[in-house]
Amino acid sequence: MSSFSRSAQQWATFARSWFLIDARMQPPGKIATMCSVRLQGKHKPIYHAISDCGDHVVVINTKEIAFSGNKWEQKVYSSHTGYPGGFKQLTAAQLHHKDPKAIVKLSVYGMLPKNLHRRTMMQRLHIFPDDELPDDIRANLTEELAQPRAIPRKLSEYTQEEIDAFPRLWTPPEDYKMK
Amino acid sequence: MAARSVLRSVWSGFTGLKTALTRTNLSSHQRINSPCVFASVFQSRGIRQVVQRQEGKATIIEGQTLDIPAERQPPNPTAKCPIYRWNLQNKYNYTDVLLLRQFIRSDGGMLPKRITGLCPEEHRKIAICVQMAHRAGLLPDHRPKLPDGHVPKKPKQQLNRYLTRYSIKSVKPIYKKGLKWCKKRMPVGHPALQNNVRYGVKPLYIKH
Amino acid sequence: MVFLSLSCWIRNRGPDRFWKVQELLKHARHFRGRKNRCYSLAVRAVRRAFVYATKGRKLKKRNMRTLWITRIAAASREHGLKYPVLIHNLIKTSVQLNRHVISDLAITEPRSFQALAKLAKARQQEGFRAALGDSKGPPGVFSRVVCLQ
Repeated sequence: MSSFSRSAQQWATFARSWFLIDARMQPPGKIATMCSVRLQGKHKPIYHAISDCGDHVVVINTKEIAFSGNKWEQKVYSSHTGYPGGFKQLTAAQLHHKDPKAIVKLSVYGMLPKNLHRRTMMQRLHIFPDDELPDDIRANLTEELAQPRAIPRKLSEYTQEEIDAFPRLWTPPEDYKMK
Repeated sequence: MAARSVLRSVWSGFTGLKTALTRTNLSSHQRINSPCVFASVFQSRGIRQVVQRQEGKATIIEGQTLDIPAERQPPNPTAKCPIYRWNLQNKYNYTDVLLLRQFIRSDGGMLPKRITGLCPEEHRKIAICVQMAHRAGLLPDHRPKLPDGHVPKKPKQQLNRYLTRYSIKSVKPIYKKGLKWCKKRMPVGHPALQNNVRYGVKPLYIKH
Repeated sequence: MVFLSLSCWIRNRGPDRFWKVQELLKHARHFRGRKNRCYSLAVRAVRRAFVYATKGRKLKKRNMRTLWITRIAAASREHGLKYPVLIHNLIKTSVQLNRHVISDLAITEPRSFQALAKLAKARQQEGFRAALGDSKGPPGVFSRVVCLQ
């Protein structure tokens, strides 16, 4: 079995690839599911829980994640410092203002399996608040993943032809003064 | 979704037109004279434009017919409500800004339903969609006018959101979530839009 | 006295109680702490261990199946199919491979697995066409779905 071709195959099979995810206008939970699958290696047919075959994931633009509903105000992140009276509660907006990487990080951390490999897998997750990457990470990237949520277009992003092509559903009466 | 269904209705309208044309052709075999008259009448319709040209000494004044695309016929023209007229019930959402912009003023408020002719249910749904679109930032230019001489302060960082049901100032953080069997939930979207047409198999889940 | 074998001859020495203890400690030698040498502690631990082993024989089958399913799911995602879609359509085309074999194929023979994925995809499209009421199958293919229509 020990020939050069086989060893190359072995290296190729267990090599770690680097994925890039753009989190602009994406819900953090959906980002986190994609990340946790890649970090555990569950996207590979050779997956085994103890064989440590996870990949690296780079998440950019976490400053511009989107929450559905009123979660920016309603969702609460709790922590305890360990000291008496050290129970901290922050809403999602406050936490995001304090640290734009924290929400994505916490949601990925919660989705990974709760075992001794969790910290190791978190070390392979690289989060950046905007789209500037250090050169050593940029050089490693192999694949960009598609965004899970389709970003709806703003009205100002439609061209005039598209606006004209949409049929007028009703016509205002002649004497009505449109504001 | 709305755009797609509108297109579909337009397509069905075209097919109807085609069948009508074939019928006239079929009838033309029986009556030879009438189709020509019909064609001439048909051609003379439309907006005409006077074009003046100079060719050497002669000045040519010509009436050209502008080919304006035919106004699309709604699939259900007898209905009073525009949504029913175009068969768009339960087919629009907050992302269909091209539809929503026809029912709002330039400052972002709803036009009255006695003007638009919307029935009360659809008016309410459109109002909900417009609100959600505003909160998602999909209608950036439809804002109330600022008073003259107003200097805007440095804008705060805008948080991206979608399917936002309540106004941002009115909600409070849920510090105590409650027990497992009676948790306080965070509503997403609006129950009035629950019957919207969806093509997935997953059930809609609006209490997160 | 008849010596059946060497081991029996060895056990012939010493008191019976010693050999009883050794028989049990044999199963406890790899345990941690005093359990691997003190009989009164070991007997309880070995009893528990055997209970776990009995349960584990059932659990192993279950865990292996989940592992195969994760692997097949990962491999089928590479070909743009979801796991339930793949398995459902393979069953519909009466491919009689179990999950163990399919996951082995996915690891060691990716091309064979790709063929399976293509087959499932073709069957899925055929099912869609049948559901939409188009009773024409692909040319030259005799299909049960189309016949039933």
